[in-house]
Amino acid sequence: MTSVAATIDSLTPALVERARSGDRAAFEALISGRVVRLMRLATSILLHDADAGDAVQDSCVRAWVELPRLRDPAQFDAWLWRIVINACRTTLRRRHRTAVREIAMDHATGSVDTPGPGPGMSENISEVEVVRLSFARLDPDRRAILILHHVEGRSVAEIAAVLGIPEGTAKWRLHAARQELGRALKVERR
Amino acid sequence: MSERRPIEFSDSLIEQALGREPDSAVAAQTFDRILAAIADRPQRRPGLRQMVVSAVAPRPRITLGWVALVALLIGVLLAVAVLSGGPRQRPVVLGVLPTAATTIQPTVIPRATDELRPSLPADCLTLPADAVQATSPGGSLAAAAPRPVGSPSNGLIAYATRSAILTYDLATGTRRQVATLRPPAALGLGQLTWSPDGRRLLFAGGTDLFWCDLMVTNADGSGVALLARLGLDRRDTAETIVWSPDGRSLLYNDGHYADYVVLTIGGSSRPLDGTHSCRWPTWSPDGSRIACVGDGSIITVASGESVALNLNPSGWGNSQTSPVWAADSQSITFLGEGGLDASTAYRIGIDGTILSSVGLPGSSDWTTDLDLSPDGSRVLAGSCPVTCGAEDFQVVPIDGSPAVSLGRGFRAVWSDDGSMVAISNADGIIVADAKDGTTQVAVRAASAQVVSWSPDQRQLLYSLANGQLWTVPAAGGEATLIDEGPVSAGSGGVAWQPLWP
Repeated sequence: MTSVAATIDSLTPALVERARSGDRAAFEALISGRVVRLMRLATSILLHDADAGDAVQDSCVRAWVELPRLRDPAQFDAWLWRIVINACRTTLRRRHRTAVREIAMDHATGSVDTPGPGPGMSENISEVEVVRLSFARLDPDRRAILILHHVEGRSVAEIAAVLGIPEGTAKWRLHAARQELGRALKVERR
Repeated sequence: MSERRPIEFSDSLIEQALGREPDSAVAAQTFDRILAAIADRPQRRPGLRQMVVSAVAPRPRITLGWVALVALLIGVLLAVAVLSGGPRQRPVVLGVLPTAATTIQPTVIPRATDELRPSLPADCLTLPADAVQATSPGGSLAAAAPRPVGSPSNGLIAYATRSAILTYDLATGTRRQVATLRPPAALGLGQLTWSPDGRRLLFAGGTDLFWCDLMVTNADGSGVALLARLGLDRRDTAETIVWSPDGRSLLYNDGHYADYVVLTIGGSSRPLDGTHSCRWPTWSPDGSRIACVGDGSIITVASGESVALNLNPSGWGNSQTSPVWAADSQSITFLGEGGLDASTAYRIGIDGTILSSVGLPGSSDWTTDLDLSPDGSRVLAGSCPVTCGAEDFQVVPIDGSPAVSLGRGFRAVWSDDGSMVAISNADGIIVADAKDGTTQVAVRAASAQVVSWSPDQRQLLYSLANGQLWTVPAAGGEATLIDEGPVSAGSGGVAWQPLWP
């Protein structure tokens, strides 16, 4: 797994400067190498491809519009990732506000409506799938920090920069997210 | 059931499970959409129209020299004022630089006729020209009737089914079809919003993906009119349609990332320049300003001047929660956040000055769906245990007073006066006292989802999973079936009429 910082194109600062001055081609070049990673992040948080596409689209257009206000071009990636995470949270909020949640009848017996087979799931379900189901049980914020670290390979310092929080806080939250995933795994395996 | 082998919880397993590539087709489409969207989007550049008020900006040091200079200037100004016959009547607005002269040409909203309809966005499958019709005698498309007609009594419930908008009078049990949608039935109606005086009902028509037409009707179904073509490429953007406090104007966004438009009913419309990034707009009680906390700005409606709220070093004053204006329209309260950071309750003056900021203890564990109480003094928050099927709701005062625990459920809604919270849970709906957390059962129904409170706080509107719409007294009692449905309870498909004089 390679560090995201190491994969950032060395041309990024120059492209950011050009894009800040209104060069659409430069912005296109900036986004083209990042859209798949942004989609992966958004999909992991939202668990929905189309919503993730909308969130990434929203975020990139907003980044284009607001780019002249970015004070430090070196922070472009952290800034863009933060916009995407916030867009995902906005999507979740809207989804929560407008959607009518259909409650399965087994709610009456105290079970939950998170995705997952629950009791009676197949014996041969793979460990990977169990982790995915457990991950879906987590709070979106926990999902985000786990993706940033385990999938994107970001260091604690990079996560802190993306989320705009102190490194100590990022470290603690990452630890808490892993603990919660562990607890969710136990629930899924019951 | 046999005991399963515990999973070895390793980094590699997590990476394998979570490191799925996104759908390449969706990613490619997203990239194309981004390029198309920015093709005609100007960038936002700081200018004379805005003064950035930063919470982290260094403050100038006050020295004796400065004090002397300011005193001298005040003296000179006073002398000039006395010599010119007294102080000027024009108020001084702190924190807003003069706006560059901008001529806003009003656009008269034309009467809705079939001839005007061809100007559609190319990708918007709009309603047929004759899709919406008034059911009242003589209810032709007359642009925003100047004298709105009230309903027979307070308490109309407006709701959308797949093919019509109806109102139900709770007092008389009378049901009225306000607008109908002719085939093809693939189109839909929703986004129902009553004007503050309860005399007009706004709604949108479109497909499952797009809102296309912004329509208005009087409460009795007369005067149905097309107000605007929306051309939105996502329905949820239409959530930003808000009435002015006097019910005479609308604020809406007529296209994704476009500037907002202020439309005066029966009059003209004009764009609010620089508002394309506005989120959660809220009109001040006096109607003079609009707060957009998502983007962090307060806009003066008449002049278009704006004050940007720049609350953290990254340049984002982001918030996921609609702001609440003070009753005197001089300040707003909202919940700010930075990434996954804990929430902070801000109170900010109309000139951008941060009057107070209070970190909310425990907020890092809250879910994203926070709601301020109607008076802005408390936060309705939910925290999510490992099993996220239900949240533990609590009311947290922003003055640091102890939180009040309300109970567990799926959705919680403030009453209009902020005294109670209705919570849908696995058994039905409970009503919790927001001050002491005591609860009582309003209705037992496994799939009941609270939709809204009646404006007098006495009734609850709720839907069932089968699409039925019901009301029940908040204190418990006999429930009333409003419609067999299926009713479009999501996407703003149900709205309870405000009390009107």
